[in-house]
Parts: sequence; C-alpha cells; structure tokens
Amino acid sequence: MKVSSNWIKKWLRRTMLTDASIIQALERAGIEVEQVVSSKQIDERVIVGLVKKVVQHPGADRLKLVDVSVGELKYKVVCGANNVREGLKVAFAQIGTILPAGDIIQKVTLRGETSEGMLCSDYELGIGSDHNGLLELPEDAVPGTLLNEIYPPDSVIDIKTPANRWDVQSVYGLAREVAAMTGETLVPLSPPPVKISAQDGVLAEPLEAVRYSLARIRVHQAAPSPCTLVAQLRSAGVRSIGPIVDVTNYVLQEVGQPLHAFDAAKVSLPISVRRATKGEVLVTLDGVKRHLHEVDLIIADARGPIALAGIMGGKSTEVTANTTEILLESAVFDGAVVRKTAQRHGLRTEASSRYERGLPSELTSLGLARALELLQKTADAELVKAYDTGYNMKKPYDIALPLSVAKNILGFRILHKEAVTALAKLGIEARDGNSNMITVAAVPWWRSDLKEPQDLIEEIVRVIGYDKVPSTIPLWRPRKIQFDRVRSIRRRIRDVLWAAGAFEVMTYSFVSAEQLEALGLNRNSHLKLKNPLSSEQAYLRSNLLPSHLSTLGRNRMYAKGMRFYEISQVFLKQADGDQPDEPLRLGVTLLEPAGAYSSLKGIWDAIIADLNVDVAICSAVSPPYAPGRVGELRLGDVQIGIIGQLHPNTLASIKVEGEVAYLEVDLSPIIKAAGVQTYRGMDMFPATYRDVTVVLPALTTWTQVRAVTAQWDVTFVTDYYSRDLPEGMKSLTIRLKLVLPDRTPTEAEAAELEVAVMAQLSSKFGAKLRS
Amino acid sequence: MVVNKALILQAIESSANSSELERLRIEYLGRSGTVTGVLKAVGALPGAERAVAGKHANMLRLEIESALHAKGQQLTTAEVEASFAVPLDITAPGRQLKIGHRHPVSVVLDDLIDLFWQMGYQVAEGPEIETEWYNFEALLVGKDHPARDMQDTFYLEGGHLPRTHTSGIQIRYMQEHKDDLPIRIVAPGKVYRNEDEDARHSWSFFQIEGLVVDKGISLGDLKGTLEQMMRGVLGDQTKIRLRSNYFPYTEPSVEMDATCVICVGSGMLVGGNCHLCGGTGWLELGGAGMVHPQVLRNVGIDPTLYSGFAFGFGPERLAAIKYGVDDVREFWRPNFKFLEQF
Repeated sequence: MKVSSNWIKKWLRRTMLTDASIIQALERAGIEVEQVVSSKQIDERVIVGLVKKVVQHPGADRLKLVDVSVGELKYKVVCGANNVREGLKVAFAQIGTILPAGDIIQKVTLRGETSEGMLCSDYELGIGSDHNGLLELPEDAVPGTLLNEIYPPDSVIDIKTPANRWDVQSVYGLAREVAAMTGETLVPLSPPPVKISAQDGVLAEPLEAVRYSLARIRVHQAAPSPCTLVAQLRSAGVRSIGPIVDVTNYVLQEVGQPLHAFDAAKVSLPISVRRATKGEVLVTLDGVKRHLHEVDLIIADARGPIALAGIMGGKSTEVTANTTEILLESAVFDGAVVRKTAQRHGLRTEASSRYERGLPSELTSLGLARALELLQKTADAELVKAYDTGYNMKKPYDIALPLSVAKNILGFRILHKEAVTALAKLGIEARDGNSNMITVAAVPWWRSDLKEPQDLIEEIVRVIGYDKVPSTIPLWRPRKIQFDRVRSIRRRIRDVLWAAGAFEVMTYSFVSAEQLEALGLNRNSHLKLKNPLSSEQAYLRSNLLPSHLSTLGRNRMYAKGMRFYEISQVFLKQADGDQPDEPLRLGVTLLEPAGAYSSLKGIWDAIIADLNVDVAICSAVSPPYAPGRVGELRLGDVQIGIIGQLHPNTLASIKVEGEVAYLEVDLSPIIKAAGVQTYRGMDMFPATYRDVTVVLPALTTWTQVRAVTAQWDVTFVTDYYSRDLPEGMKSLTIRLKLVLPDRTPTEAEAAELEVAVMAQLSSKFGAKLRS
Repeated sequence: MVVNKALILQAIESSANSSELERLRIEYLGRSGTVTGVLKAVGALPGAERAVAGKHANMLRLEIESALHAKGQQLTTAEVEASFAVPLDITAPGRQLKIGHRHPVSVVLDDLIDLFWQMGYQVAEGPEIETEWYNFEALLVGKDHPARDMQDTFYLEGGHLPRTHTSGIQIRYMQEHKDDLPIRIVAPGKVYRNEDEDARHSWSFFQIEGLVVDKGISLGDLKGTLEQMMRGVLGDQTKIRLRSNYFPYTEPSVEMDATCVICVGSGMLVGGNCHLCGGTGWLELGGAGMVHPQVLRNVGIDPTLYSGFAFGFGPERLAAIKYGVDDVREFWRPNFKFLEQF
C-alpha cells in the first residue's frame, strides 16, 4: 500500500514531524517500509498555465507550438508531448526555473521557433515516474497558482502492513500509530452521523452481509474534484475519475472502508446481497464479462447482478458525468468469502484486499458519514435517505493483564503508569485501580485483534520500544544432555568426501517427468505438485540421480574430472493420503576419463572404514548402469543403496566424456550401524610379507576370495584381465602377512603360509600359481 | 715400502669432494691401501725394530684417519651448503592438494549448529512434507487466515504440502516432549515457497528455527540469545535491534535486524550509501517472538507455568552476507565455478 506523509500529517495536530521521523515511527510500529519516494519543493517559477492554442511546428513533425496563458500573460512554448491539447491545465515552467534534476529552463529557439518556457511531465517535476506526457492538472486549477501549493514536498511511502491489522490499511489508522510512537496528537475523525431511515423495502431480506448500509444521495457534478483531493489520491496511486468516484476512493484510502456508488437511476430496487446462481453474468467496471459461480457473493437488484460484493462494481450501474442521484454502499462482508470470490476471478482490488482482513461492522457508518461530508463539499450532495441493516453488537470484553505476567514475558518490570500511558497513546483505555493489574475494559472497536493479555504486552512494548528490552541469556538446567550422533556421523562422512576432493552440492528437490522417465522411473509412482511453478519442477524426486545428471550436464565444460556429492531427503510416495517416507540419502557422482568406478569404490571403502560399518556389495542389474558394473549395497540382509558405473545411454543426453560412477545410499541405517574401531595392539616383531599371483576364473570376486581366506591376513594388491591368460581367467595378486607374537617368522614359516593359502584357493576356485 | 706423509696429507687436504676423499681413503687405508701395506709390513720386521716401526706406522694411520675425518666433515658441510645453491622459489604454488569444497550454506549451518550446541540446544528435524495442520493450523493460521497469503504454498496432489517453514517442527517436538520440559532445540531444514525467483529469493531454501520453552523465558532472553548468535556468525562488534512484526504463532512478534557487516551500522561508505544495507545500517535477518499461549495450549503445555521463544531465519541470507554473494540462486544451481570459491 502507498501512503503519503502529507496525508498522514493532515491527521496529526500541528505536527512538525519530518518525513524521516514518520517513516521511523511506522517502522517502530511494525509497519514494513519497502520504498520511499520523496519529492522536493517545486521551484516557485512553475505555475499553472492554460493551453489556449496548439498548432503544428512548421519545421518539426514531432513538435507543436503552444500558446499558454496565465491570466493576462501569454507565452509561446514549443512542446513535444502527445497529450498537449487546447483547454488543458498544465504545469508551466517559466524562464529561470530550476528543475529537480538540476536543469535550468532558458529561452531557446527550436528549429526557428522560440520557446519561452517548458510544459512539464510529473517526472520532470520530481513528483512521479511518468514521463510519457504532460502532467494534466485538474480543471479547477487556477492559472498562476504555484505548482508547489498543489504539490507540496511529500514522501510516498510504500508499506507492508501486518496481516492481522485491518486498521493500518488506512491513512487514519497509520496516523494513529505514528501519533502513538511519536507522542503527537491525533486529530479526531468525527464526521456528522448519517440519519438512518426505515427500510421501505429498499434492501431485500435476508442480506448475506455482516452489515449493509446504503445511502440515496442527490449529487450535482458541476465541478471536477478539487486539486488537493486529486493530488492526494495520486500519491496513493489512484487515478482521478470524477467527483463521486474520487470521494469513494478517497474514503477507502483514508478510513479503510470500501465504498461503492451505483447510479440510482440505473438500479431497480430492492437491492439484495446473495450468492450468484448458475448462469448469471456480470460485466464489471473493468469491462470484463464474468461468468458467475454459485459461491460468488454478489450485489443484485431486481433484474440481476450489479456488483461483485466487496470487489468491483458492475458496468450497467456505473456512475457517469450525467449521474444526478447515487446509491452509496458502505458494507461489511465476510472476509473469507470475498477472498475466495476475488481469487476465483483473479481480481484482487483495493477493496477486496481490505475485506480479506475482516473489517469491523462499526466501520460502515464512519465510512458513509465521511463520504457524505466530503460529497457535500465537492458535489453539493444532499442526503435523501439512508438505510442500514444494523449489526450484531459484539459482546464487549475485558482483557486483564497482571503486571507480574508482563514482567515474566518481557524480562523487565513495567510500572502501572507506564503501561497505562503506553496503551492510551494507542487509544486503548485502561482502567485505574489495582496497581498490579492492567485492565482494558472495552477494547476499541478498531482493534479486535487484541484478545489475550499477551496482546496487550505487545502493544505496551511496541510503544515503550524494543530497545528498552534487556539482553539476557536464559538459564539452562536440562534434564539430560544428548550427544548428537546423527550430526556427528554426517560430518565424518562429509569430511571423507571433502578429503577425496568432492564438491558438496545442493540441488532442488523437484524434478520433471522427463527427468524421471529418462531413468526408467514411472512418474505416477512419484509425488506430484498440484501447483508447480513450471513443468520442470512438477514431481518430488525419489532419488538423487536425476539432479546429479543435470548437475553433470550443467558443468560439463568445467574440467576433465568431477567429484560431487549431496546429502538430502528424497520422497517416497505411500498409499494415497499417507505421510510420504523421506529417507535421508547420500548421492556421490564421479566423472573420470577412465576408472571412475574404482575411484568411487575407494571413497566408499574409506567412508565405511572410517565408520567401521560392514557393507556388502552384491551384483545387480539396473538399466541406468552398465551391465556387470553395478551392485547393491547391503547392510546385513537389507539393501541400503546402489553403486555402479552409469551406462553411456544414461549419459547420452548430457554429453559428458569419460566414465561416470554413481553411488546412492540411505544414511539412517549407516548412522545406526556405525561403530567404533577396536584397538588390537601393535605387532611386537617385524612381519613377513609374501606377494602371490594366482590365475583363477575371471568372475571370482574379491568378496569370495576374502571369504575363504578370512583366517589369514590377506590383502588385495591388483588384478589383471588379459588375452594372455587362459580363456575366462584373470590374474590376481594378493599379499600375505605373517606376524608372530614372540619372534620374527622364518622364511620357512612364510612359505608354509603361502602353501596353505594356495591350497585353499585352488580347492575353492581352481586357482593356480602364475608362473 | 715408503710412504710420504706430507704428500698424503696434502692430497687429502686438496681433495675436491667426498667421493674423491673416499677414493683416497681406500688408496691409503683400504684393504690393499698403501698405509695398510706399511702396517702389514711391520709384522715382518725383527722384534726391536718392529716395536718402533709399529708405533710410527700406527701414528701415521691415526694422523691420516684424523685428516680424512676433518676433511670429510669440511666437505660434507660444503656439499650440504652447495646443495642449496640451486634456487627454490619458496613462493611458487605448492604441489596441488585436491581437497573438496564445502557448500557455503552448509558451512553456515554447521557454524550455527555449533553455536547453538554451546548454548545447550539439541538439533531437531522434521518431515519436509507436512500436513496442513502442522504447517498452518497448529500455528494459528486457519484456512481463511489472511496470513496464508504471506507464504505462497505448494500443494501435493492427494493432500499434504511441502512445508513453507520449519515451524512445524516446533509443534512436533513440543508434542513429543511436553512432559519432558524444558525444551531447547534448533531445527534446520529445507522449505519451499511457490513464488517467482529473484536474486534475493529462491523457491527452495533453508531455514533454521529455534525454540526454547521453560519456566520464566522472557523477551529479554530472546533478545540476548539472538544477540549472541549474531555475534557468533557476523562478528563480536555486531549489534541487533528488534522491530515489531506480526506472526500468528508468536506474541509479541518481532523482526530482527543486525548491524550491517559492510558499513558497521553507519549506513555510509566512502562515495555514498552502503550497497549492502541500502544506507539503513541494518540488515533484516529473521523473525522471532514469544510463543503464543494458544500454541502452547494446542500442544498441551500450560502457558501459565511455561513460556517460550521461537525464532527463524535463513542460512542462505547469512551466507550471502558473509561471503558477499549477490544472488542467492547461485547456492542452488550447482555451478562448480561458483562452488570452487568456497
């Protein structure tokens, strides 16, 4: 919402506040200030002029020669604006004017024609951003008037207001907050009340409104809206339309009550407020033909819909320059209903955004009275009759705040007097009496957000200032302290990956159907967003591989090799309506010219060695991976992940060169199983080593070799697949270690070990010593 | 056999390097060396002569050995020194160590968690896919509450929603621990908002949420905690201020600002307004407040006995400030040119 500091100041008595203090006060009150556009004092040489005559410049297509009159005086001006026309009131900068940007207006000759000044746009005057044409002044602007009287220096403050406060969506409500924060005095807003007449069947029963007031008012649209009113509307970003609509808009901005004026001559009474029926159609003021829905709340006359309640009026009953009598509506509708209707029609208006917060019923009479008061001035209005459904008075309620509770919550003591004064500044009256208790006997009607003692605490501290709150650190007497095993192990895993040279990445959890299907995953087994930002992010990923593939593709020019990992939740769809499963996964990707799998396996070995977890690899078949180069990771009998080299087909669309190995594993079981290494003591005597190379069937795995040699200390040195070897065989080099507790082993003992191991390998796999 | 001691000593003295010296040692004192020959010859001499000659020969041997040793030391020292004559550029980059790169947001999260551990907090986590009740209703944001518009929400087909904030974890944790008070937790996690991205907003981001429930917890405690936390992250000179704000689930609710790390709160830099804080001197960092008594009631904690505070802020924003990153989307892109700088 945009609000001008001048308009706020209008409701503060004899204030000397600067714009900066107003902005500061708003911020302290909890109103977020998003942007401030301040205008400077306009040079006194800029005055109102009247365009008398416009002719084409003989030497330039785009320029015009304009005669401007200021009373008796006449000036000739060369002007390039499209909207210059006879009869227009313009801002005329005389010779010598200094514009806010620093330019000085001089007498110049443009293609042979002399210009004795300049006609200005609002941008050139520093009061707006429009530089597509001249500032068009209201018709009642008197030539010769200083522009700075119509447009005094002002700050237009763009604000965001708390969602629970309808009252600060109005200039008057903001002025009340500023007054409370600065100690200024708020000018009372008390227009003469409007006399309510008997119903006369003008309003149909029942009305689906919290309160509905309607006034029949005779108007005389002899003169346009006064300059000051137009200027003030303009500061709020509202365009002047005509003297009637301008007043309704003005009251909306000022007191927060949305109003709508129907042309009385175009309405067939009675008026009803009801839900639309199927097939009903309404052309709204913006010219859009709207097909109404049974949940839409509408205003209708005897013939049909005439407005979308609380959102926008209808074209058929629009007020025009010829209107002589209006039906002025000031009503409160249910906020949620207005919100839904506005959403359905994609039509959020100044009015609907106010209804959404829930307006108090008391507001309609204030809005109506203020509008009548203004219309009497600007349109010579005469009230014919006013009707009102009245409303159910909310039961007045008390809020009692023991000062001890305030002290507990705030952390410092507040005196009774301080608290009462603070509340009084906001117009909230607290009863005298018990000095240990603040009692608000009647919460003001405009502050129905105040319900509990805590709400009063907030009001008090808001006025006193959060800078008065002391800084303390709370005492801590926990029942127990728990070591954070999950975080600790996560960090150890990340440390190994860091040491291995891997990048840690974070990728979006939402992926496209194409990404899933490229990996042979069924999109229907995935959670899907009802309202995705784009189809690229419509599904929740069930594993990290799609995101890792796109990371590879995105960085393929980066380097010859890449190592990266991510730790993140993935989402597994359960039966409809059930809470999805969200396992925490580690995904690791390695790109290398060759041997990516072996490098990845080395990293994985280091991780599980560091955590002392025993994870087996069992060969598997999975299409994204190359055949024979993929295995399941198993912890006991449970599959916890997969490791493998990706098939070139999987990588076809991302065009990386080299081999890509990928690993994805559930971290929770790993974290649960992670153990502690047991220290076995150090060898007291030197060990003897023997390297042995054997030839055995090519499909024999290291896991199998290890299983049959578990009783000895045997480690892997290298393996070798070659045509030199007999068909279907591979060569494997292992290292045997022999260590004794009391002495160094002899050569003979080492040879004995070698024989024993060979015997085992040859009996289990038919292995032969390689010659 | 005659040996010329002077010549030998001169030869030793003039040897140019340790390998030449070693050659001389072998020549004189080796198994078939000249001096060794003299020593051997002594044995063949008659008794009286043998004693004298033996003494001389041994003296000669000792003298040569000592000369060899002295020269040897001299040469070794010279050679060690000479080995440094080849220049080494001690400023040239060392042999490259290929360590990885931690994600900047992850680093900030780790730092924050460490900081909270020091203050006695436990890390709590919760599901990223929430029910409307945990994400909204339990936090007093009803179906038609205008605050629902404050957070644009994604919805899943068939119910549930990707959480819009980590505040649901508060509710879950309080429900589980209502009989096990006090509570002091910090809850990091990913959240999702259905809104267009720009340099300051991404639709998916991290939040870190804090919750303390105990007897006598006050707004002053909240302020002090936030102050310590911000000093820990942004430096000891950091000051904070609280401004009134509105969240349905806290009362009073505040917005926390910390003094700008670039202009140190002055708002000014040489040549104009500070570009980071826009001249205000303050950085908006997060929301906080005293837990609304109705929220406590909703989870079965008696607000007349217990009070609490909660806060939440964005590690991305902190990381952006700390590392001078001007577009938060970079954190999520994975672009290695970006990530390799951390």
